[in-house]
Amino acid sequence: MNEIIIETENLSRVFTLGGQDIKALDGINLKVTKGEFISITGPSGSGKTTLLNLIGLLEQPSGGTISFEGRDVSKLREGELDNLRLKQMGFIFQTFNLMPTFTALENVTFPMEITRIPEKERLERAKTLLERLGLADRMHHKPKELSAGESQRVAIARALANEPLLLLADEPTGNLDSNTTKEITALLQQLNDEYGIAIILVTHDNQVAQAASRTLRMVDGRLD
Amino acid sequence: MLLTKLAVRNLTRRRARSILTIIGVGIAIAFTVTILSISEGLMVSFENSIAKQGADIIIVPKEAEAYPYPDVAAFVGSFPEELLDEIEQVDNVKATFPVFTAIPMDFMPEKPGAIPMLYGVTPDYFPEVVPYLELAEGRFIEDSDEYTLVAGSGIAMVAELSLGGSLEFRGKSFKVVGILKSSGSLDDGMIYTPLKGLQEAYSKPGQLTFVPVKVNDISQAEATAREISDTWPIISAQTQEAMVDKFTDLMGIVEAANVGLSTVALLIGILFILSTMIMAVGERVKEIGTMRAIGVHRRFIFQLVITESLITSLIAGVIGCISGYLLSLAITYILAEFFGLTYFAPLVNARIFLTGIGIAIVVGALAGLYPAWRISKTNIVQALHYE
Repeated sequence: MNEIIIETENLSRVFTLGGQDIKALDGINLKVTKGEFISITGPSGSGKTTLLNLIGLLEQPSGGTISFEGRDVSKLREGELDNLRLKQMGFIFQTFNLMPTFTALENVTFPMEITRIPEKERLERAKTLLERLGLADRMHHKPKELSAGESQRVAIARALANEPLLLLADEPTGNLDSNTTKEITALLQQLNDEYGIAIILVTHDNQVAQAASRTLRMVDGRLD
Repeated sequence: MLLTKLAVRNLTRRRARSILTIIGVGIAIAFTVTILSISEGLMVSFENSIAKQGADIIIVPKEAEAYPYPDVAAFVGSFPEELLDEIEQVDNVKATFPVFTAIPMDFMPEKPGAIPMLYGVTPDYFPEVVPYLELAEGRFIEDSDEYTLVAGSGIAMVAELSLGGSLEFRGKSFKVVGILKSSGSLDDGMIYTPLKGLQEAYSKPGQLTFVPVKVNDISQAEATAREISDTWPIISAQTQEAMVDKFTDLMGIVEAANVGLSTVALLIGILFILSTMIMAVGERVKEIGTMRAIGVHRRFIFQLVITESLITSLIAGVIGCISGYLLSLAITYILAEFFGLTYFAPLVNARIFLTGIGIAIVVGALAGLYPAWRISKTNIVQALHYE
């Protein structure tokens, strides 16, 4: 049961800023098993988001390796990385990042259109997800007509659309009030239980971090 | 399908900007289509007049030798009619048709463009040299006529001529005996009179400005023309073919000008769409970063921007072609109605429309390339944090 989906080995990321090398990540070794809910906390600039970006294959490490389901993905070609993100990962952002010209429903069907899931199936799946997330009556509204909490729920539905193995959330409650924060945190917990989807959540908020089954803390690019 | 849907949504997001861009590019294309159709129409009308003529050789005064169109001779010189008797003795010459031309610059002061070309001809000129001309009403010129005229359809319309009416040139009154059907050529703007009458009116009795010649053996036409030119230094003889060639050269210059013009329209179009697209993708960096993060391929983003650019330019192309056609009709109408220039028949054919649409496609594709390339190359992490 303890199948490892993500494993990083001595992962590092160095930025060059004004001629100076800055180690954003310094030798990270991390294993994430299927269905695990991990939160990462730490002060600003500690490298939390950089770690999440590397795990999410949004940028390349400076050193070390990342494996996804046992396969080294740190040297894959761009198109293959795109496909992995598209089908195996879901992203949730602090600012929701919904497509403004699309309705809630279209935002959720969009990743499925890219993966060429037949229209009937993607509509069914999107509706089921939106209903599950309590947005049955908001499906045909555009992002600007949705509240912050609703927008983030649409974004979660979008992240789940292609039935990924892993959900990556970067400060998902950073733009929400305390009630909505509680609501979204609880929702992530439920989805983790219900769908058995692994979640890596980066947050400043200790309360939010407590929702995870494992809490990691980063300081100066290292896991504490 | 998804690409088109997204592209259309993006374009309608900033409706005013998209519409302004379409108008800008549309105007550039309309302008090109207008000029192309008018110059093409003019070309056809010249071609109809020159290439259809029944003459094998044209004789003009030496001074008019370099001009592609014999009527110009009316401005530069003339030669004595007696020469024809001698020319007819040249071996290959079958018949000559004396013509005296004049251009009354003050014909209709209120319509400064309505300047007919006056052709003083003999009756056999019609069946032999311009057999394609047909009468709408009345008759052609006859041997017994002195001061009569047969008017081209265009000039008849502009000057409101009708049978039995008359026109005055240099104090002589010419009676309208025939009106021609429109031939889509320069003849529509001409007035034919008896040779003698016109020569007298212009105080040039016995003078000719050009002479169409028919030969027995067309294969020897060039040698015959050379012989005529060499024998009488005051005149210049050229084969009809050489005249057409000269004219074709002139049209080559017009064509080159048209290509230049189309290129300018193309550049204007590219700059318009380029600036719009750079603005449009600049506003969407974060959105495009999100799409890339979700797993949308770079290629899709590239295609999306190109699609937006192409949709804009194609709409502009269609609007430009249609309005360019309408504009050329309007210009022709104005030229005919207010200036009396009747031989501008705009020609819109598939080629001109395809040129318009072709320009639109090239504009769309080229203008989209740079913004598409730039945005599709954006670093995902930087794009996600772009504000």
